[in-house]
Amino acid sequence: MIENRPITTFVSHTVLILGVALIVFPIWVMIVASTHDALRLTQVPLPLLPGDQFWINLKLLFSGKEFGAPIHLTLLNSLVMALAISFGKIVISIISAFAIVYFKFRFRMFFFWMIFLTLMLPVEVRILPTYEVIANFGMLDSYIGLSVPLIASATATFMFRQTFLTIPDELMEASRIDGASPMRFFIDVVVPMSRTNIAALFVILFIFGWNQYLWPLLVTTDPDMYTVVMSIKQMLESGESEPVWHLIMLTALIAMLPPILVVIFMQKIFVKGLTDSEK
Amino acid sequence: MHKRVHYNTSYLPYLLVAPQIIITLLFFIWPAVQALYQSFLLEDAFGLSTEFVWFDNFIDLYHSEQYLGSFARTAFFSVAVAGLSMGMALFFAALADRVIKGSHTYRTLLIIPYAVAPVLAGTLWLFLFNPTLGIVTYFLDAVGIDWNHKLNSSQAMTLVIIAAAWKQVSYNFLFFIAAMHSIPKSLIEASAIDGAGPVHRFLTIIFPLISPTTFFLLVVNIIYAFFDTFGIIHAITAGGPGNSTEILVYKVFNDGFVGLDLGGSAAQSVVLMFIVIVLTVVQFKYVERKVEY
Amino acid sequence: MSTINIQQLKKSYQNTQVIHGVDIDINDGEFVVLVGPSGCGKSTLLRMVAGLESITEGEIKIDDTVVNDLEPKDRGIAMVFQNYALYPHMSVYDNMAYGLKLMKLPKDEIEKRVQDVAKLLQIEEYLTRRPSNLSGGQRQRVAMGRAIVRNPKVFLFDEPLSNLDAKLRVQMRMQIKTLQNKLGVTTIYVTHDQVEAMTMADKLVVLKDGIAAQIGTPMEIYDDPKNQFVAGFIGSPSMNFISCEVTDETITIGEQSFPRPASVSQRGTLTMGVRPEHFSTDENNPYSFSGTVQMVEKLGASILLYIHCDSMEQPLVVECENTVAANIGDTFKVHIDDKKMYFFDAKTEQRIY
Repeated sequence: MIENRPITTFVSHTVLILGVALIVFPIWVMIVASTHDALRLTQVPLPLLPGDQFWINLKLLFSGKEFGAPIHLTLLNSLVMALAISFGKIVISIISAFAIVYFKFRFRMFFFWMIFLTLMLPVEVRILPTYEVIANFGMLDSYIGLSVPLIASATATFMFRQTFLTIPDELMEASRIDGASPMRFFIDVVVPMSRTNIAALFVILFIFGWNQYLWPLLVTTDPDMYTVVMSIKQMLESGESEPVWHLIMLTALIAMLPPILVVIFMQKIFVKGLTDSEK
Repeated sequence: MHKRVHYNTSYLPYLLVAPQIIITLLFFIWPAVQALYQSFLLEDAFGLSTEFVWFDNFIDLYHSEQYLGSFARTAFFSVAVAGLSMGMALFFAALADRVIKGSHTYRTLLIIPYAVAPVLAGTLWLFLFNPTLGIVTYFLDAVGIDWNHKLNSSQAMTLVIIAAAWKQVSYNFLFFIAAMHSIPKSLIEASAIDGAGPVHRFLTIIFPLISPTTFFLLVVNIIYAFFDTFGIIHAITAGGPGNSTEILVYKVFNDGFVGLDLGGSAAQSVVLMFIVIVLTVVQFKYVERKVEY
Repeated sequence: MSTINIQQLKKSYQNTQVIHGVDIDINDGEFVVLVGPSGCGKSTLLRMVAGLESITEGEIKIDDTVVNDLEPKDRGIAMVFQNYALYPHMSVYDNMAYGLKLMKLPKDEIEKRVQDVAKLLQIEEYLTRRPSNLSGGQRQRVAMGRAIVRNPKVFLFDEPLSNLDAKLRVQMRMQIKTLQNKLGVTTIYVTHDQVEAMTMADKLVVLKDGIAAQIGTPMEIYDDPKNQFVAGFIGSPSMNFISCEVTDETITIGEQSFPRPASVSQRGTLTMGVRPEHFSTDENNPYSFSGTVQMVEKLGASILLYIHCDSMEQPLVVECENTVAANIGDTFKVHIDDKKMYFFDAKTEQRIY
């Protein structure tokens, strides 16, 4: 800070704390709700301090007695889908970016623009026909159907392309003189030099994959293939009268924990990756 | 744009781009072409026959009160979400940029909503504003506001805007903070020496200098509000009450999967594609400009 | 034990030709320097020898084998790049060992070779470090180490010293030359710095616009430049060029004349060239004219005078002993040794005398 003004600093902190509290408030209420029983959550006003039912609620969820699929199954589905999407995106993006940057070949620019086009076609605008493609391939209710259609990524390809362009040309030439084939160069030099980008992308893509909602909603009909994120909606609708909020909130908590942990623990790399990827 | 040196191998590059291209063709280009094609077709109610009707579906959209209403609603929704979310993020970023101690903690807490799935964000806010149980509803009641977004359409719209803006605060905050950090310190110091106070400094130095980021975020936020808020609306209002929170993406889904109006839904998809293309071009124009800085 | 023959080498990109038929013969163990202004094609030529650029026309032979279509790794060459091109994510050891690993040499052989070269270059203590933790001079040595360890038939250097500061550059210049002498490996070295070129080369190739303007030992080129370009490029400060009128009796520069030396037989407008260090203060020398001192640069060991003569566009640069007293505005008389005058055709810029 430029000048030392204790009062301004104090005010800044106070306002920031209030603001952060406002942002975190819904999360707090969710955590609190997950620690009470069903009865307490029907009494107004709802509690603002944690109760003691957390472990009991947790057990209930894992037993799978309340709803279609036990939560560990939906968690597993989410994990498989998120990992498949993030790994898939990273792998196909990095190799196509490598081809586009390091090779001269016919239709190179054509391919480049084709990949660019995918940026303009989010799932939401082509849901119906994409759904038909998956249905025709018999990929409904499968991990492949859940993940593969979301794997193409212009953003990741661009980001890798940007990174590769900053790798000095001489490194490729040095490796040629050292006797490395293109793929050796890719594995020994390009991939290790893109480590930070790969890690940052992984965080972003893992969250993207884990949080998918509309797509899993469409391609899964078998409760055993539900993801944890989409199971929330089922829970909201399933109760005859009022939803069972204590379990819904606990499920929400469990469903958002993995991406939150990834963001917090890989914060530095994630923030850098996010703000750099747009440049 | 290109490297000075390249490999010359015959088949390898094709092999390398193949997975990306195949997936793009199968799940992006082909469905998009399908959508385009279907948007020119009219299917009868039983799906027995289809007829090529040229632009009839689009003309229907143009004359549909409901669709135009949804369009206006989406515009209002996205501007409100972008404004609210960016305003809060900018406010937090301006404060966080000033403090040294604890700024890391603030950041950590503020990025949490980014990791929350839209549908979960919707669920949280739904719980807070639950007409009978919600904590916020309880407090609102205490100050004389009767909250029921299931019946009151403007309250429903308010709630989805709040939930959508909440989720996007993290993203905007991170970009504003990054933009503020990239302002040379000497510039701020110079203006401090010139006698500008913190507020004045923010208005005359910092804000103009981060205006490219602000513009960029505006586009990104509008894209977000258009396409990534499906889960929020699905969880909170499912488009209701009436159609009061049915934005375009939601309507595509509803008309296609629930209403089974394939031609109409496809025509709506095509309109949306057109919107994304325009927004993306604007965004990239901006990126190009930023590179020149 | 390697010779290199370059015959009628040409290179074009799309429609522009950058190398217009160059011939160079390099003997075994020779240190050849390619020198020229930027854009003269010297780096392209080197990269063609390396196999990093394709050859449009002509032939490159290493040890009587035509290497035109060989991959870089099969040519027996090693290269040191301007920016060193060290793999940033590998340790110094791995940087040096990488090529050997790809040659599938046994592990202990690699270990031995890397250690030996590290000792030779005195970089043993850095072997475990990453390039980013090394100074410019150390990186430079690692880059050389990576080249030496391959046991190449030919060393190629592409402006290897231009990223170093002036003092280090002089040191490294000496080290590279000494090392090359010791190893006896045929070397091609590219630079734009004529001092580097003069001090290091056994054989100097001065390139201009994709043509070898002159090939010879540094002293040959200094003493006996074939044309105005070479004369001006080699030598520091550069040679002065003065347009003059030669008649039967005199050589006229602007309004001033002096007698025509017997050796100059052509008449008409010529360009006279005199190196700054070849002026004398010998009062008995008849080949003289005068001008006004415009600027005085005291270099310590000597003084540079910039003398303005009314008819010349550029001031004349004269190097004289540091005892000479001259101030700005003084009239100064310069004398030229008639054996150190060069004459060039005003049109073709070729040297006549």
